[in-house]
Amino acid sequence: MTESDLQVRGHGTSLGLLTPSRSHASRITPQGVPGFVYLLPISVCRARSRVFQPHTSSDLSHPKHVTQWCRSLPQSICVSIYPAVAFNLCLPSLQVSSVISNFFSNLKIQSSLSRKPYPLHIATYQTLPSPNSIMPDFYNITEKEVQEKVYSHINGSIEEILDRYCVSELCKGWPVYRDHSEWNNYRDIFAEKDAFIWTSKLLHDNTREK
Amino acid sequence: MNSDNLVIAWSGGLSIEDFIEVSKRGRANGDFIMHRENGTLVDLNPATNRAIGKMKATITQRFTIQGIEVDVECDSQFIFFAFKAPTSTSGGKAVWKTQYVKLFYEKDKMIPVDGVTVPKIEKSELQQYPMGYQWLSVAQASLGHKILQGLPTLNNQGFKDLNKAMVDWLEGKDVTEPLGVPKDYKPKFT
Repeated sequence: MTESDLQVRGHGTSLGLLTPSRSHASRITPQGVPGFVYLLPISVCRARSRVFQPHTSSDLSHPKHVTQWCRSLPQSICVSIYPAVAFNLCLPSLQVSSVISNFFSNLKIQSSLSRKPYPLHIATYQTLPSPNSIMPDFYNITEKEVQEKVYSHINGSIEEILDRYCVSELCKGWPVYRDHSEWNNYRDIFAEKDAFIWTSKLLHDNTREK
Repeated sequence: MNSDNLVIAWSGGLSIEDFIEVSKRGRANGDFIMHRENGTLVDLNPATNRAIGKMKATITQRFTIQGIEVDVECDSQFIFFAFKAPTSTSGGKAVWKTQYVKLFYEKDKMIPVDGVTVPKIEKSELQQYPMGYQWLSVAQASLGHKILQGLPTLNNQGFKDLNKAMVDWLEGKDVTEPLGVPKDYKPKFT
């Protein structure tokens, strides 16, 4: 099972990988459906009957308990659909079921390596209530610690405070200088060589000639 | 260089020189983009003379869509990769400068300027873009622009990659690869 990452496709749209070594929930958007559903492998081995039940919304986006259940070649897969809040709000429940049925009838499972059909079929699926939140959980940040190491960020020596203040001036130079076309001051906050910036297209792709 | 060539050339970051030039051209063409700083803190590692500036800011851009004036507001966190070293004009004194800037796009929305009238935006159109900068993307796309996918939001691979790059930077490591600094970058406006 080491080389058998499974790619699930529906309506020609990649829905993500179901991997035995690295499980995850995928955000999928069936064509024409005004919302989102989650596709979450809950058990990939028929011999094992444990069902993965996410306890928190973060388990949906960061499931981590499937690996130990996936040591043998799966013949079938059981998935749970968690319609996101937006999905439920857009469609009545009957229509949700219909959409999901159509969605599964169009699923194709193939090896992500060979791109050939993989002999695995969806055995069962179930729909579960959405997480009890006002937002789809993939919209939100993890509740877990993001930066383990603590650096000098408050207090400290006078030198540290002054250094941090100087860096904060660099930051504040972006809105203050750029918004008012103070290009010289704006350029001055960056390194003399090899300074790079990544933004969405919103800031920099309007190059049409007047 | 015409605009089509430029768009194709942008697979990632821009040099500061090109970014300023593009910003000037955008403004000359009527782009109305402002930023609202909401708060800034800094992580400092004196041992490496490096720091990460974290600036919470709202990007606001005025659009006219379907004849209706709206503001798109995108809450974000600007990440400044800063270092302390002498420059050619600092007289040997070490000064702080910014090497890279990349953003987390947290959430966005569209606000009617008159408080009442809103353009009709299809959900399917919004869903083409990552949550975090969906409205911004749709509004930009309405101008005919291509939108970068995969930028850091609050819950995607870009989020993890940028957080890791921030710590690596503080530890003195090279972050050109995880950030995607273009290799053999050629200026766009020479």
